[in-house]
Amino acid sequence: MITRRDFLKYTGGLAAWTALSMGFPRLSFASLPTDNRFILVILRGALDGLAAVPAYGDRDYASMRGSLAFHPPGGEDSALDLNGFFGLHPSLEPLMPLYRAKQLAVVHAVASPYRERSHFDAQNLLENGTTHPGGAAGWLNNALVELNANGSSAIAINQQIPLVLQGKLGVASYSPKGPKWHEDSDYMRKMKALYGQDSLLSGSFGEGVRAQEIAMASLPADDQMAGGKAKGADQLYGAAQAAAMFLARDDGPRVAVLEASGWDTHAGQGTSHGALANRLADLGLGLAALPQQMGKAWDKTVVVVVTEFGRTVHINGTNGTDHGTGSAAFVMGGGVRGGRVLGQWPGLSANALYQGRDLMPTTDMRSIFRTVLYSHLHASEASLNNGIFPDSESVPNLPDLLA
Amino acid sequence: MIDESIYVAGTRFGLGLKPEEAARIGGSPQNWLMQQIRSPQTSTAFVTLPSSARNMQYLLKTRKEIKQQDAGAGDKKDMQKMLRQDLKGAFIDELRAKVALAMTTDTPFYERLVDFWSNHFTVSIKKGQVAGLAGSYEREAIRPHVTGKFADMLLAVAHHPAMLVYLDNAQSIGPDSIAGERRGKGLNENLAREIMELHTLGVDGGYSQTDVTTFAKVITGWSVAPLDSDNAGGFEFAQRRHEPGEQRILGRSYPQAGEEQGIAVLRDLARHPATAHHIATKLARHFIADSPPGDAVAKLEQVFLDTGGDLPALYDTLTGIPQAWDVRANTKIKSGYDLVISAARASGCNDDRFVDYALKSLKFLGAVPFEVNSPAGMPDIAQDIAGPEAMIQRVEWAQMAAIKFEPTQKASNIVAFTIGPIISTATRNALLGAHNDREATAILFGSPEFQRR
Repeated sequence: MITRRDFLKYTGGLAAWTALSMGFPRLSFASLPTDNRFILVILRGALDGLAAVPAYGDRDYASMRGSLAFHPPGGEDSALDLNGFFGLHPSLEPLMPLYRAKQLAVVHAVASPYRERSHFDAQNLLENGTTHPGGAAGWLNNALVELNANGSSAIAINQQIPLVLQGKLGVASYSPKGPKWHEDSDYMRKMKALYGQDSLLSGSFGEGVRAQEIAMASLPADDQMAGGKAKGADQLYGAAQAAAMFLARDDGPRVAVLEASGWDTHAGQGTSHGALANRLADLGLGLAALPQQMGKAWDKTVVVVVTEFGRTVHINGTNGTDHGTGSAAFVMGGGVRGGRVLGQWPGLSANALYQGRDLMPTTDMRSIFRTVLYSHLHASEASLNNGIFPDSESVPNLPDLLA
Repeated sequence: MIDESIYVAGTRFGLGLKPEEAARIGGSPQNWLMQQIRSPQTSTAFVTLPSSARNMQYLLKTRKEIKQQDAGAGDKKDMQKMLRQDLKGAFIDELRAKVALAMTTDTPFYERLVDFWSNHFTVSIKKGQVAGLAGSYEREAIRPHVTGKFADMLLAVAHHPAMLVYLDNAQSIGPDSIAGERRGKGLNENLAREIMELHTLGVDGGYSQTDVTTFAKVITGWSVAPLDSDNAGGFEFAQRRHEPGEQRILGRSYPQAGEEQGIAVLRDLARHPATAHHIATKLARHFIADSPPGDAVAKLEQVFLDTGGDLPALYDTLTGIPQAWDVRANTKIKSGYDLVISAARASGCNDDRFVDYALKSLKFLGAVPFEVNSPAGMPDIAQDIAGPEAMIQRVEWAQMAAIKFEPTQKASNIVAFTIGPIISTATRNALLGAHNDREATAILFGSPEFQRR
C-alpha cells in the first residue's frame, strides 16, 4: 500500500532515479500508454455546491436557503435550467452549450471520506487518496507511477506542484503568472547557454525555458481566435488556457492540474452577483473555452472539477455559508456522457441533512477519480485498490459516466 | 581564489561566504565550524520579540472578544480579519529578525542547523493560528537545543503550543477521560503520528497503527493553557482530557500517570535505534548528498546511539566525514532560502532595507520559512527544489537581486570567494563578456554554480 510512508522512502531514492534518467522532466517526450487527456481542477476553499448547482426543484430549497436561494428558471435572479429539478448558477452560463451537447455532467452530493471541516486536512485527504489527512504523496502521482508514465506526462499549472501531483515521479510545472519571460534579453540568452552546459540543471532549466516558449508562442494566437479575453475571465481562465496549450500538443503532457482558491464564502456570498458569482464566471469561461483550445484532442479529454467539501445548507449570520460536507463536482469532456446530474439526491429536509446542517453526501469523490483513472487512463483495478486509493475496494466506479 | 575546503565550509556547511569571511576561517575550516557550535551567535532583535505565550494570549483574548461581541457578523468578520493580519504581522517581525541574522551572522553553520531542525520539526503558518507562533517557536523550542541533546529538543517541541495547535493535539481528548466520557468526543492522532513518522522513528521505524493510536492516548491532555490560568498561552497538562491507564507502545509498558507517561514515551523514542538511523539519514542527506552514502549514515547513527543523541558530538562527526567535503562527487542544490541568503551575504548586506528585499524574494521564490504544505516541511532534494518553473524564477530573480542587494564588491571579487573553486569555463567566459558589473553579478547569482551548495 503506497502511503506517505512510501513517499518518504522514495524521496531518499529519487536522486538515484533522477541520475539514471538524466535529470528532470522532459516535456518533449510524454509517456503514457494512452492518447487520452485528463485535467483535474481543484477548487480550494470549499465551493458551495448548492449555489453552483441549485436544487431549485427541491421543495425545501427555498426555505432552507433563504436569501441565498435562486428563483426557478425564467425570472430575475434565477437559476439556469438543467433538468427541471436542478439548475445552474447564472455565472456558469458559458457551460450551458456543453451541457446541452451532453458533454458536461454534474455529480451532486459528493464528498471525500473526510468528515471534519478543516480546509487544510480536507484538501490533503482529497489529494492523497487515502481516508485520513497527513499524506505526503498524491493519488494522481501514484497513478502515473503505476501507469509507468514519465515526469513529462503531467504538468501543474502553478508555481509549486500541488500535493495530488507530488510523489515518486517528478512532474513539470508552469505558471502563467510567473515572471515575464524575457526571451530575447541578452541576459537570458547567456543564461540559456550556461545552463545548456550544466550536467545537473540543464534538464530542468531547459524544460522551464521550453514551457515558457510554448506559452509565448501559443497565447497570442489564442487571444486572436477567442476575440480577446472575455469579461469575467481571470486566474482560472488563464490557467485553463495554459493547460490546453500544453495538452493540445501531440508531444506534450497528458495530465494537467489546475487550482484556484477563494471559494470560502463565509460572508456576503451573494447570488447572481458577488464574490462567488465572480469566481464562478472565471471558472465557467475557463472551462467553456477548453473544447476550442484543445482542438482535436477534446474528444479524448476528461476534465474533473472538485472541491474539498461543501457548505452549510442554511445561510449564516453574515449572509454566507460555513463549512459543510456534500458538494457538487463537474465532469466534462468529449467522451463524457453528459447532459445529466448524477448521484443520489438526499433531499434538503431537516432530517436529510448531515449533522443537521450540511448536504448529505451520497457519492464518494473517489468514485469519480477511480472511474476516470480506470476507464480513461487505463489504470488497473488492482492498482486502484492498493496503491492509488488504499482501502477503496468498496468504493464503486461510476459505470456510465464515460462513453 | 579561496581553497575548496573553505568553499565547502562556507557554502555547504554555512550560508554562503561574506566578503572577508574566508580570511577569518583560516587554515582549519572544520575548527571554524565546531567553534560556532561552542559559541553560537544570537540576535539582539530576539529579546524584543514577544513570546509565543504572549501571542497565544492575544489570540485567545481576541477570539473571546469577537465571540462575545454583540456586533453584527460583518463586523465580526472584520475583527477576525484584523486578528489574522496581526498574527501575520507578528510572523513577519519574527521573519525579519531571523533573516537579518542569517544575512550577517558569523556563526552560519549554527544558523543552518537551526534551519535544519526547524524544518525537521516543522510547523506551518498555512494553519491560521500558527502564524503568530512559528517564529517564537523556533526561538523557544529549537534554538536552545541545537547544541544540546536531541531528546531535549523533542520534549521542548512536543510541549510547545505551536506544535500542539498545528497538529491538533490541543483538542485531543481521551475517550475514557473525564472530558471524553462526557462529550463522547475523541482522540486526534495527528501529532502522535507525526512524532513517530517524521520526528523520531521514521517511516520504517517498525511501529504499527496501534502504536500510533496508543501514543495519541498517552499525549491526550497535552494542550494550551487557557486565559484564566497561571501559564496562559503556554503548555498545560489537562488531566481531565488525559486517557487514564497503563499503555503499551512498541512492546514497552508505560504505567506512569499524567504528563510523565508522555515524557517517558518521548524519551524512549528519542533514543530508539530507528530514530538514530532516521536522524543520521536526514543529516547526511542535508550535508552530503541527496542520496546519502551508507557508510556516512552508519557513522552518524553510531555516534547518535553511543552518545544518547548528543548533537555537538554528531556535528563533530558530520564535519569530519570526507564525502561532505567532496563537492564534485556529492552535489547539493541550494534551497530557495539558501539562494537568497547566500546572495545577500555575498553582497555584504547588513541593513534593514536588504531584509525587506530578502523577504520579497523569499515570497517570490516560494521559499518563506514555515510556509509549507505539510508537516514534512521543505524538501531537501534537487528534484523538489529545482523544478522547471523554479529554475526560471531563480534566473529571473538573479537580475533583480544583483541590483537590490547593492553588492559592496565587484562581481569578479565576489566570484573569488563564492563559486571560484567550482566555476566552469562557460561561466567564466560569460562573466568576462558581461556588458557591465551589474550584469556580471546577475550572471553570477543566476549561474548553475551559484545554485550549488
